[in-house]
Amino acid sequence: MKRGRALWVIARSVMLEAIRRKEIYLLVAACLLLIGLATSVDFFGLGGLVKFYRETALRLMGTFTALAVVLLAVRQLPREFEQRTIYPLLARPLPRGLFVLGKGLGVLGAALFCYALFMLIYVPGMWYLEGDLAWRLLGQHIYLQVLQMGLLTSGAFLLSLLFSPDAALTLGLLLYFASGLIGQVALTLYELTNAAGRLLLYTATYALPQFVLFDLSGKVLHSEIWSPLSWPVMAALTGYAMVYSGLYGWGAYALFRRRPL
Amino acid sequence: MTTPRPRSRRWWPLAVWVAWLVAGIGSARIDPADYAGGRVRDEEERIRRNSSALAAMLGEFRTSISDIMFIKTERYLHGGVGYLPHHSESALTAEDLADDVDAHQLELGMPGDDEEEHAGVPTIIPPPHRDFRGWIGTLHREVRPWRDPRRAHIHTDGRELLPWFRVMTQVDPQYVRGYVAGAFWLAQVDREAALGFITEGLQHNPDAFQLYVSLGLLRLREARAAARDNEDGLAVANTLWKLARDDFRRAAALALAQRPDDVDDDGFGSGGWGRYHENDALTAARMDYLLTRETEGASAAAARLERYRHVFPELEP
Repeated sequence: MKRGRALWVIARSVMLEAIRRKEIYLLVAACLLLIGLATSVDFFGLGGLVKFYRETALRLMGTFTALAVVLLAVRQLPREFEQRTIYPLLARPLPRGLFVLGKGLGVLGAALFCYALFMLIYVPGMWYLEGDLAWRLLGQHIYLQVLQMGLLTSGAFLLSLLFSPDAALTLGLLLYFASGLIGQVALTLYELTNAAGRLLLYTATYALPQFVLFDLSGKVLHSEIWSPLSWPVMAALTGYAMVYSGLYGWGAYALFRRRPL
Repeated sequence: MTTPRPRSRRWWPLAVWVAWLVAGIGSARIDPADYAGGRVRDEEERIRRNSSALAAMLGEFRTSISDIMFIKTERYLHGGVGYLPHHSESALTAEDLADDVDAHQLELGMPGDDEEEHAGVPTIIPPPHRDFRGWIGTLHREVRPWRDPRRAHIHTDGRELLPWFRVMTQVDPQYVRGYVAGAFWLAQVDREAALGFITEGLQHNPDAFQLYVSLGLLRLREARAAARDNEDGLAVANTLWKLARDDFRRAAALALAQRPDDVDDDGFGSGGWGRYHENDALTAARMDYLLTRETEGASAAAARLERYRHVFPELEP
């Protein structure tokens, strides 16, 4: 089997399984329920108030997609060993690196499907409210969210091979949700701590993924003020995501390769 | 690869989840208006109200949510740029907030224009020379709304803040500050709705004298508009001045009843009394005096002044 085709088969099987398992739909339904609740509030009978909807929708969409990614990613690799489905796969001439990459692409594909479902609701919602979609900023936000999904997938793979699936799930979600808070605490503590503490904070800042870098929703929200990001900034963010996804992915691959069959 | 579960059992987790939600909502009789926040002075009343389900589930977290939403309104006002809290206590009083809102109206419709106010307030994301993160910090400042703290603030149209005031007061109907600030922003687009909002706040917080101050200030605005816009405006304005006087009088009476005896020179006293309360109490007394002079004459005003001067000696005729 050619490598490209093998990659596609693995990714497709992960994607199809995720789509068939209904979990994504449940997440989408829960997210839509919350967005619906938020938009059903009567704001003094005034029309044209779009920022509340925009912020609520973008935040919920980002959060629920991240939840879907971590939920899917942490069980992909350990389950192959637990259910012994790895044996027939590896009986074929299939490098383990390709297998991990295929799994990652599958999770990313499923996450994109989830995000596309959200967008199918968000865009008509904005049209209905006659709000400006801010296409260029929104496009950049979506692109950064995709980069974040990739980073989250590789990070979750690594965690799932270091810890039990439950611990990996908890840690993955904790890292995602607390990323901004950890960063802010680090900024504050850096002023107060000694040299050893500063070294620790510096190391943590560069070792942990900075998910806040992929959230452009603040600028999308106030798009009447802010311009789209410049190409060099987008390129730098792409590079950051690629390097960190690559490092975490490589770590996951190394652990996966060493794992006894 | 997983073995598919039997078709009949695939949906039972969703069914259980939905049933749990319905049962929870049904049995909890969730109505935020039934629950009291953490700032109710009457302990017995607070305990009675907080015995219900939502209060038990969320507890003091509701007040935190409201505070977070209040901070969010400030961020909206600054085009998303996060600054460290910089409004002084006095700027949160009903009167000063009204002045603040008036000042902000100068920028309405001109998003992104500079305003000299508050320049120099530190941003939550620090500037490059104070950020140890190097290029990660640079990217962070590019991705998030950020502005050099040495530059004056951006001010945007306050209309988009309104949903947050609506939600924060629904989450915590005892959040008086939300009603006060929300009513003044709302008054810029719909005075009737603002009046309704304050009335709603008073239904939930009948002892909140700040809301009576807000109501009085709102009526004064209406009186000014009536005198300017209508042919028989002066008659309408006179009626509104009397209504405003009554609101300030009620506010002053409530404030004096609630004001502790140990208020220091900075306006702080026991029982959580702060400068925020002191300034609004003083405003209520001062406005009652001024409007009494306009509507009832100098002798009636002098009598009001005498009543207030033992508490606020700084009040002058």
